[in-house]
Amino acid sequence: MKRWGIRHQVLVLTLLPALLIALVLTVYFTLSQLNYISNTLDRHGRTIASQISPAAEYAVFSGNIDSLRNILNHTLMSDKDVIKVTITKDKDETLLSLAVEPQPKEYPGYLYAIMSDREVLHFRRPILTEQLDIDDFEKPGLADSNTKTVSRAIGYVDLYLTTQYSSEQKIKSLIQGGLITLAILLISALLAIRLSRQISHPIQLLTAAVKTIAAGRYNAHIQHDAPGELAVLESCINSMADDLRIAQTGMESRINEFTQELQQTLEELEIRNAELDITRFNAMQASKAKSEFLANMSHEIRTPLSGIMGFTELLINTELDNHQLDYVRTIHKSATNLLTIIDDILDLSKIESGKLEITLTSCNIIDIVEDVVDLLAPIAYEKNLELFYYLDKDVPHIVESDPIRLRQVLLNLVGNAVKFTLDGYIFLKIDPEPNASSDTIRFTVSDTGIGMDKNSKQKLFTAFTQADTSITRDFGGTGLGLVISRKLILLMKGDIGFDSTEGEGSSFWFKIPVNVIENTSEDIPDELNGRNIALVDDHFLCRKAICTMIEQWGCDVTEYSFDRCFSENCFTNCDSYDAVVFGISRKHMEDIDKYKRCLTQSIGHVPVMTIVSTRSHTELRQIDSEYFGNLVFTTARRAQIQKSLVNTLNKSYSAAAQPSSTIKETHVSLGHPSLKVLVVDDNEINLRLAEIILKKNNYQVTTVCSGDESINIVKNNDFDLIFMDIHMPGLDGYEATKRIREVTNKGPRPTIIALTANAMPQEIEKVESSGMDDILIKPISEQLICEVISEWFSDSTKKPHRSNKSHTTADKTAVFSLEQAKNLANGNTALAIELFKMLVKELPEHHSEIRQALADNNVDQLREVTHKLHGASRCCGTTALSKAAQLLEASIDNHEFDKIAKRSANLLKEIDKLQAYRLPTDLTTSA
Amino acid sequence: MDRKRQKNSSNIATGLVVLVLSLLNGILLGVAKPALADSSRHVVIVTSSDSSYQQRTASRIQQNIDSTETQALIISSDELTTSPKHSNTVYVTIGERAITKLHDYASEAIVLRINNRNIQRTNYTSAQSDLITEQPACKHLQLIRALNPRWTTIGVLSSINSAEATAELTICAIKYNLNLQLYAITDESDLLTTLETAVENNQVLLAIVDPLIYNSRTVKNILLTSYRHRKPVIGYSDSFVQAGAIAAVYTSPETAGDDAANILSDFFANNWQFNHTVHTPSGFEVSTNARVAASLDLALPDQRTIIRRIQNMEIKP
Repeated sequence: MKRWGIRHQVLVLTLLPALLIALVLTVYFTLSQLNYISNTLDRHGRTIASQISPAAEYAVFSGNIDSLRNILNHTLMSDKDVIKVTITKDKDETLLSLAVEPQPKEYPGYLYAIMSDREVLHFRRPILTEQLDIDDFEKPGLADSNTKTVSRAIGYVDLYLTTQYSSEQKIKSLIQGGLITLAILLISALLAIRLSRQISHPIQLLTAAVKTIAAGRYNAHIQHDAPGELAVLESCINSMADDLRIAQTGMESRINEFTQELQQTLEELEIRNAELDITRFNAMQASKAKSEFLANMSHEIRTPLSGIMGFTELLINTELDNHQLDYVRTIHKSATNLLTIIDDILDLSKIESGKLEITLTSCNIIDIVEDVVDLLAPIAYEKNLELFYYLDKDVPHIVESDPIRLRQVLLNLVGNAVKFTLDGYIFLKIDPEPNASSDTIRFTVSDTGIGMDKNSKQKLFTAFTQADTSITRDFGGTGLGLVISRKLILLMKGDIGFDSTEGEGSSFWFKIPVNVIENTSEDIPDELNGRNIALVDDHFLCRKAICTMIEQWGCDVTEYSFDRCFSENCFTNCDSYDAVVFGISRKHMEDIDKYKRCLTQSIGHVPVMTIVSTRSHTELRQIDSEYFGNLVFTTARRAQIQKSLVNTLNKSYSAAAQPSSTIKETHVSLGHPSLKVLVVDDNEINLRLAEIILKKNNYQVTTVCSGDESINIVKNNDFDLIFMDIHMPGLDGYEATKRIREVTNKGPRPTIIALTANAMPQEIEKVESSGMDDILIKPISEQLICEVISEWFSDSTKKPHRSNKSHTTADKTAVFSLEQAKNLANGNTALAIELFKMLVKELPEHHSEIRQALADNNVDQLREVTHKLHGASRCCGTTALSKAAQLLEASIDNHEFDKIAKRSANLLKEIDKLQAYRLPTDLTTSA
Repeated sequence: MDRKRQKNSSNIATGLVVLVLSLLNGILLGVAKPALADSSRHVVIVTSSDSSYQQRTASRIQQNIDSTETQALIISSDELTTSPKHSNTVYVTIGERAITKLHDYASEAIVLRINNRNIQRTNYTSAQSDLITEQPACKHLQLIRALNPRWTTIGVLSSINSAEATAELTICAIKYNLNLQLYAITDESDLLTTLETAVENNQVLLAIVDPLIYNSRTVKNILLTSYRHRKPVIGYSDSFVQAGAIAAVYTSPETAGDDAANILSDFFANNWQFNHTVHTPSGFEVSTNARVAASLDLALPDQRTIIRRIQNMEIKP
């Protein structure tokens, strides 16, 4: 009822009481009337009987039937309710009985039954003889007036009354009562409606007026002349409307004033904005100029540096006396340092300008860590420092992250640790971050270095400041490494920190969130499962790291320190072990003979594998494998150590494991001596360097110094690989590549690798879109060249990682990555090849559908095809195709219609590339 | 000293004598008072009911008889047993019940019995007398002649209770040359048929005091039956006329009271001897019912005329 309008409420409040009262009164009076009718009939019967009784007295006394008949007839005729009268004498002798038929019923019979439970009422009265006092002498006085006089009954009157007429009367009474009630209710309803209208109508008018006022039309006035309080309300609303109108007028005038002031201000702001735009434009121009300057400077500086480094490397391999060798090494080192400084400055510039992007891709944590360790181990060992890493069993192996930046940060931290540690060890620990909301890996680099004081700690992570200026003198460096590392970690949504005690060492940590792709990447041989291994190493941390690694392969490892081992004479009880893993640290290299004697006790009994803290084959060869069994570097790859352990358990002793590449040990023999390579670079030095490196590796090399020449020579010659410098006068590398693609469209498709000193993201994107297959950042090196050739033309199942920390697009632009395909196929090469072939088989259809969708401008069809292709390519190691499909699909979903055409073209190109891609022969035949 | 003693002794003796004599006088007076009191006459009027007639009669008697010499007391018959007895008491009973009660209370009491009919004809003593308030039979016939000389045939219902009255009527009818028809009723069940015969064959029906025939239950039907035959009924009391008889001659209570007082005065004057055993009323009253007469289309003379006519008939029978 609360939600009803006023009109309804008034109606209800008016009608309801009336209805209730009407009903109550109707019921009451009707019942009273019915009762009255019934009582009246009853009383009537009694009265008639009482009247007949004395009237019939003389007739009964005299036996005068005629007189009786007259009396009875009169009774029957005078009252229609009487249907029968009977006079009987005192001995029930019927003197006379008269009856009449009642008239036909006016209403249905059931109504009569409702109105009265008896059809006939019977009344009986005695006919008494009236007593008359005729004796004065004994006539009773007032005192005897209450004396009961006993009369004698001489007969009886039996009177029968029908209830028909009274029932009819009741029915009529009910009908009348109902009609009257309805009439009253109708009148009440009409009055109530009128009243509600009288009340609600003015209120409705008031409501309409208020709405009009609320809508802003303050001219609305109410003129209804409502009575009482409503009149007061009307006048108040009218005055309120007037006040509002006045206020609005005032406000409008003020608004106009303010608007004029605002316009003036806006004009001034526009002028200022224009000035700011000019300033901004100038700043952007300056920034662009700065970026171009940096890119150019980077290119200009890297190019000669590339030459310096390349030729110094070559020079080092020539015959030089010690002084010359020292000088050349110094030059090389200086050039390397200078390159590092330039890279740092470039990175910092990119970060600060927001142009450095984190590219998430699938990467192997073990590979990244081993790369870093592999690179820095020789430097550490030169300083007689121990370097090892510990990988917790719960750390996932394959995750989605930016491997380049991760490697960069690790190199920086571990490199700093190696740099600032004079004695002791550097320990890299990788474990999962506890209590993290998502998968987070924590990297901790601990060292026993010089440490930092309080002031130095505060300056840390600040650009161009090292903890101590003397450090710069003693240890070198620009002070940018930690700053860049911190910014990179923050870009990767991680966190970085450190703890340090002066004179005792430092511990730098960082943690990054990752998306886990696979928890493990290792194939664990069955030979290792359940094997009992005795691990003997005097360095606790090294022992811990190796023990964890071996246990992850399924072995049961018992750790021994030297003292414990020799004191417990574990070698005499070695029968319980399947193998002994013996660790020799740097410091024990000098006492190697002592340990040889200890090991002689187990010769021929238990196979031994020795892990040696060195990267020098010379040092390794000094260790007698007859005693120390299979030898392997401490910092060798896990796969290498695993293989060596398997061999040890199988009691096959092999030569020392081949380390990964160092500066001195260069290329990987990849077996493509007939590779025809074209080098295009306007810089003769770079040209020459590349020529030398390639010829050294027995490749057929042709060099040209301009884009035009490259096109001409490609027209007449087939090349397998083209190194294309991007920044060349005249026809630049992009344009030259496009034209080369046009020329070689019908023939074999050469692999074109861009050479650039500028690793900006837009450069990389431009490289992708121009049709090039890969990019190398200058300065190029033999190793880099060999790696890229190996990547594109090798049949090896494992590609060597490029040690260049520069950004590459190898992962993103790979037409087909067998390693990735295998990873996705759970290590099954045949399956990976099969999936690849299936994808390739579907490519023409996808190509056609994409073209058709573009022609029809059918975005939905385009999305469907792209999505399908994206899904298929993700499973086959075709990262470039997958990436192109992903970008196009994202553009469609985000309604970036301006990018759809371009990305569709990219996708079609990737399809073309993949269609043109040829699997290595052995993969083709074996799959 | 001795004189004083003697004087004192004499005074004391005198006083004692006076005291004794006073006491004796008081005792004697107490004893004598009733004797003195008994020396006045007591009239105890005993009523049978509290009917107006009896009370008026008793009051009239008391009014007439009460004096310094005669004390009249009115009591009901139920109070009789508790009333004090006096030696010089004359009882006056009014009604039959009082007669019975007095007889049970004091069978030898001096009593003047007043009743509307003679119920005892024998065993009268000198101390008993009756005053019959009912008018003599001839008076009723005189009334009929006074009302309408043309009414010559008169029907009378009687039973054994009214045998004496009917005898008197018969004698009187001869005297006035009226045809009196008597109809005997032995049971009330015969009443209707006998009545119809009586009213059919006579000009007027004369009612006499006979409880078997004329009582409160039957009178209405008798009257209605008569009037159905358009025959008037002559009653014997004012009440009868009120009930529907066209006329009646009766003794008023005042007349009865006066007559009773006279009888008592004579009794006291006659040395407590009643002169007669049965007394009749000295006067009469006439009552008529003009409405009934009008209903029967009868023109009745006024009461004074009727009385005069009756008186004339008494003078000149």
